[in-house]
Amino acid sequence: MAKRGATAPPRERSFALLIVCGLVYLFLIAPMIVVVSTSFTKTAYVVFPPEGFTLHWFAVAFSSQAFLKSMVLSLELAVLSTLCTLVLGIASALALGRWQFGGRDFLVSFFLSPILVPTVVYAIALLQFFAAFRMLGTFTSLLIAHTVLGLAYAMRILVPATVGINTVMEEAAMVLGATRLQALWRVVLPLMRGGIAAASIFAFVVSLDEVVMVIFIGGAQTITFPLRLYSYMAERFDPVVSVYSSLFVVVAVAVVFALARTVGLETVTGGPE
Amino acid sequence: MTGKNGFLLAAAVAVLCVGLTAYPPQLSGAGRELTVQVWGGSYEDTMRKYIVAPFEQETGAKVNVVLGDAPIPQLMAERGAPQIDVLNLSDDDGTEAEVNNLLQPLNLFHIPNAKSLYPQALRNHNWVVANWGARGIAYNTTMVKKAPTSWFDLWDPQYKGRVMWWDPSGPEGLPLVALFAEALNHRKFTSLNDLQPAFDKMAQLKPNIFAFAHSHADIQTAFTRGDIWFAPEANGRALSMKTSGLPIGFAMPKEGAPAVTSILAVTRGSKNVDLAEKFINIALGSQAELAYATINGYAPSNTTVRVPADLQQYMPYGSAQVKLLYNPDYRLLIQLKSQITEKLEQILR
Repeated sequence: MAKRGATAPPRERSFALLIVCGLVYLFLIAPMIVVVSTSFTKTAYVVFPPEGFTLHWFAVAFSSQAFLKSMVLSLELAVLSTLCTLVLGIASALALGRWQFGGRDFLVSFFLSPILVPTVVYAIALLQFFAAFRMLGTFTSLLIAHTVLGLAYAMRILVPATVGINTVMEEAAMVLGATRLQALWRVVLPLMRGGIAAASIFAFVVSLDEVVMVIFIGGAQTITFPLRLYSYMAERFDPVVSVYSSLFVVVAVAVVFALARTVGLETVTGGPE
Repeated sequence: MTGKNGFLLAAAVAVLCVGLTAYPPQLSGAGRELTVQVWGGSYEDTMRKYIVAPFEQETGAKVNVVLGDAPIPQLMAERGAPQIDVLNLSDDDGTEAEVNNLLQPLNLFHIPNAKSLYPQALRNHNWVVANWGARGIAYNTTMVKKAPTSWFDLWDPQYKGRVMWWDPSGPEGLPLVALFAEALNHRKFTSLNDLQPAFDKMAQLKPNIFAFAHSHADIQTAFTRGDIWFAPEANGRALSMKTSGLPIGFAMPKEGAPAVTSILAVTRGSKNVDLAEKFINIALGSQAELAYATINGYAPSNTTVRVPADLQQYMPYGSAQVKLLYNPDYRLLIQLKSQITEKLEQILR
């Protein structure tokens, strides 16, 4: 029996969907393809499509001691600030997600505020703050700044992650002999696994890419990788820039890969466990 | 003096002499650190090789490098206890630093190489010019057979859509507005009204503008893709594009070209003024200045430096070209900046 307003049979519909999805993906990854491919060009200037093929620029890029030092610094900063963000974030999220108390909503908004304020405004505030404490240009000041920024992103994910956890499981564990801490470690945190993984990615990537705060409160000892790249580009635009930019792409892919292998992508995206 | 006393005196002097030669005099900077801010990339590389290395060897002090533009807000916040000793400034932030009292007056007696500089390099006692670039016209030598001789050649209707201009919100286009106004009015500008002829002229350029650049990379990409044939560019960037294989030439227009000045200064309140002045002296020396000319394409401010013939056309070399360098009243330009930007946005967008 034909229906009014013929609808396409499911098979054709999903083919069209496939095409649209394919185009969207292409649009999303096209900039990355351009950046990575221009790293291989033989010319001394950046051109797309690349002319020739050479690994020369990779050799140049990785022979720079200055850049390697900056890479290590950025990684250290990202890892440490992510850890701090997780510790503070999980603790705060557990409190905010599971208790109802006066001022709770205000606190949730307060934690989210760094995202709402333009980074430049936040950086200027930090400039005044750390100058007063004579902490400008130190690793610690950057760590604090990145932790607070990462926390804002992390809380957006962690608070909803805790709300869904039924305290019954925790109580059951304690009835069976676990201490509060053991219950936290072995019951609550594993239930939050997906949220923690997602929050860590955000905090890590936010710290790695962050350049505005480093410009304002950084110093001679805190030249992070994005800052060094940014300064380099102001003087010269050669395929070495493409090589360094490709590294960010590689890191992103590596993070997703690591997640898929450890906690599984479904836990992060909220799909079926 | 008796024989015995004389002998003792001679012995004491001998011991003293031996003592002094056995322990060489302490290098004046041993154990100390000098913090220098500089723009990153090849400018930094040349500085490290030709200024930092000899400085560290001569003084025993260690140099810390801070990358980027001079952090004026940070220096104002740190007033009295600056983290940076030596500043690399351009015209606009140099003026800002000066106006905000952030610079230490230099004692030129401690900077002997200052004697060899062009008079234009010693405009006041707060700073010295280490080298100059010029913001002239970079052009595609394959498509443009005859080099432009005037800024207003770019207005030619045959170049529709072939000119890239600096985005009005940035600082690079500002001195050009002043330059055009002074070329059209035949007198210095003193107010926003004086700039009106320049705004009218810029309105006529609109059809020729392909797009606006936010960075050198934008201009280089547009030249590479063949989208544009002209752009106002620093000579050093035009030279580096040519060296990397692009068909780019450079022209100094007869109205003048805004100077891209590399200024050296010492932060007020620095604890290392003596070391800073030594550092600046090395930077003004012929070795360092020749390096900046041959490696980075910046013309020397030291009159004794001889630049190779094939590079001379790509930089404002020699007193005749140094005279063509245009230095507008940056204090006034900075005050008028937001109004100029607003007008340019209205006209050009």
